[in-house]
Amino acid sequence: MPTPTLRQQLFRVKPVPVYSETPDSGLKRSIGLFPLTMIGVGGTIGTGIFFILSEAVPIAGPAVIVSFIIAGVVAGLSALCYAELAGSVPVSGSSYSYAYSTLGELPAMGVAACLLLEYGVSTAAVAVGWSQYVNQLLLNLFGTQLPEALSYAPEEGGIVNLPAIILIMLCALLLIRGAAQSAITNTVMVVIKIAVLGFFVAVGFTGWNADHFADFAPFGFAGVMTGAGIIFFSFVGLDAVATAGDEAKNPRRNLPIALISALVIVASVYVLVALAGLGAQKAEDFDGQSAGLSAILEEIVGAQWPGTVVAIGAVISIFSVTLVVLYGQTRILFAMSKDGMAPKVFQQVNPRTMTPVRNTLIVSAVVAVLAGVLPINFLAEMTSIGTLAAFLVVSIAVIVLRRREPNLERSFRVPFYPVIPVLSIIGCLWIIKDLRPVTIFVFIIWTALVLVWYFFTGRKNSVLARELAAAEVGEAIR
Amino acid sequence: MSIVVGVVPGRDPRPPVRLGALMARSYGRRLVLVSIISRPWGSGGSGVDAEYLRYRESETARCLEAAATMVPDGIAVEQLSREAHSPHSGLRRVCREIGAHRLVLGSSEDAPVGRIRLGGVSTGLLHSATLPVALAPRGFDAADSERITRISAAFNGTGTSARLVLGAATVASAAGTQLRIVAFTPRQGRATTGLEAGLGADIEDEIVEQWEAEIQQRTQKLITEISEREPTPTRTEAVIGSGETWDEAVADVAWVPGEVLMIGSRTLGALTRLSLGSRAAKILKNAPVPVVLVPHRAGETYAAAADSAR
Repeated sequence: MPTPTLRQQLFRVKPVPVYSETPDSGLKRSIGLFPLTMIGVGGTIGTGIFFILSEAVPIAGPAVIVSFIIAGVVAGLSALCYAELAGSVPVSGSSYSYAYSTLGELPAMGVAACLLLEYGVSTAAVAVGWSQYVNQLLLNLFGTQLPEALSYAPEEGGIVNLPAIILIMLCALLLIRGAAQSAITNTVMVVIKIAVLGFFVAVGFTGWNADHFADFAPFGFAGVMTGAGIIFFSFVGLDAVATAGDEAKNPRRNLPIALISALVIVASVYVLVALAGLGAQKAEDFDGQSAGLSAILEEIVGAQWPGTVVAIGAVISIFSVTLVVLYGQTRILFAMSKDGMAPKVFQQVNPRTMTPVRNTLIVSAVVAVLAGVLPINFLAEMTSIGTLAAFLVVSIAVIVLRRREPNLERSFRVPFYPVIPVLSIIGCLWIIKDLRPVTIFVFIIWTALVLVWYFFTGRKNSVLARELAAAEVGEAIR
Repeated sequence: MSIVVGVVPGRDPRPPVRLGALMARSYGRRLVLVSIISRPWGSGGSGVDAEYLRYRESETARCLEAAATMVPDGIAVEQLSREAHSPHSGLRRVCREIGAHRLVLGSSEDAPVGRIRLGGVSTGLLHSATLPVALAPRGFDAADSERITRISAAFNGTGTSARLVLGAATVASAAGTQLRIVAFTPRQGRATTGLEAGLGADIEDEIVEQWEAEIQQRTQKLITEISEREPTPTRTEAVIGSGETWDEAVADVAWVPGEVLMIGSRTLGALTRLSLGSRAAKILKNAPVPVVLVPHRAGETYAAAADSAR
């Protein structure tokens, strides 16, 4: 049996499993337009908006509004590409699975490296944001808060971010127990998030001062783009709509509508929140402000209660977001482990709890360390670059696949091909370019490490490789 | 060693008595019908209390008498009434005194017909009993000459659970009946939105598949171990019940008349039950056959029977 060449190894494509029309497919749900839109809104709102302003405004100035729109447009373009890729592979999964089934093993590993950032690191980022609001809440309700040493990462003047670690451990416990977030919980969470943000906007506008917008873009267009890079983080989750595509009713029509509607809703909420915040407070005041949305309201009203309301909302919704993203991370590693692309320990399911306990413990421990010692802006940027890179690969994949397999049946096709994938690629690259060099540097090292790992371990452990070899032996015998 | 059946005046004694008889016949034991008269605190000396107590005594005697008529011929049966501060402490003491093999109780009245719900007495006993407690579903009955046809043993993959399955194998061998190892995979709470967003809906199915593979491997090991012992159950098999909910998962495995289900109730503690409900509690709630709960404190003895059979 001839050993496959390196090229064959790196680009071997996972065949799409053939699903029979057994009663098993009765599990398939059909999601209508409105719930599909809500998945997008629910998955997206809440990731970053509660704390991203204090990171992005000092960089972009009031022009952060433009950053929001740019980030939103790029996220939307990529999400459309994502939808086409999801629709051309009749398996459901993350972009890792899609890349494996279309581009091959090596690109799939590259995407996986990005996804580990998109999920793992964003869990850490979100948890750090949670810590700010918990402290605010403690202060407002009990007049005391945790000492600085225990609430901030070393770079931000503390020793360890304890609340963030506690949050991650709590979520890990829930996941080990087999926590399930039902459709109802999801809806309740969406309502809480939107209600809290709506409350912020309503109160925030009472403190409107147009003078705050006088120096609209103090740092020019570069500032706006760097801001967009950080903000991109808060659009993570929009791709959820695309992966739900194979369960959507009439995806050809509903998928783009749901994506765009979710995008418009989310972007509008973000822009309104940014407008309200900027109208209420000078751009310079955002720098280093923790539990930003609470602090702004307290400033306007001169009383604690609006800040408390926002803090409660933030604590609840960030908790649910952390749970969702941590969950996602464990499941991606599970899928990779099943393919032989991650250590076997990630696919062990504990018989008693019926959950991947070790997987969850390892992931939470790593994420907890990240959340405990790294500053939020770095975590947010790492998430952004990971997501952008994953989107970049997805957009390229759409073009590659259209050329390589033009006749493949796709449940959804990107409109105005090739304009949209190309714009998406340009947009992703453009935002990445303006991220801080340290972010790009760490990202490259990280991806390289993952690929080195693949080269020496994953490539040999590949379950697909064994299956292909077995199939070949079968052919030979026949 | 005998099968103790707890009967309560005012409650239909038929289900626990018929289940007790079924077990007595299958295990070759005698049946002891026990009714506990709750003694008022401070052992009242006043006339009113004494009169009430006499009324209770006569009620209890009538109830035991009625229960005795439900025992089919050919089974040695005894009646016993005791005074105690609470029914469950009384039953516990009687069981200890006569060295009971099993304690049989009826289901709470709010159970749907054919299902089991724990009542006050059974809940109390679960925490303190040192012997397996059999629970008859509401409205349960068995034919006069029926024997236990199959013992199903719930298995959750843990070592404790495996030991209890081996215990059940010993019981099944001794009774000359079949053994079935059952595991349940409810896919309950499979997120429809939210959690799995961005990952595809199939990921939880894969987790369940992985779990099933793991369980199958462990059950296979158990089956081999059981087959190497003497005597063996008349037949040993394993089955996994799956479904969207616990209800469906339990209904997914076929149940035959004369079957009993053994569940280890290590995690059936008050806290678990009050908060989220343990697996054992969920299986118990949906089981359509009599359930033998092996409380934590009885587990060692139950499993030790397997060791001595080796």
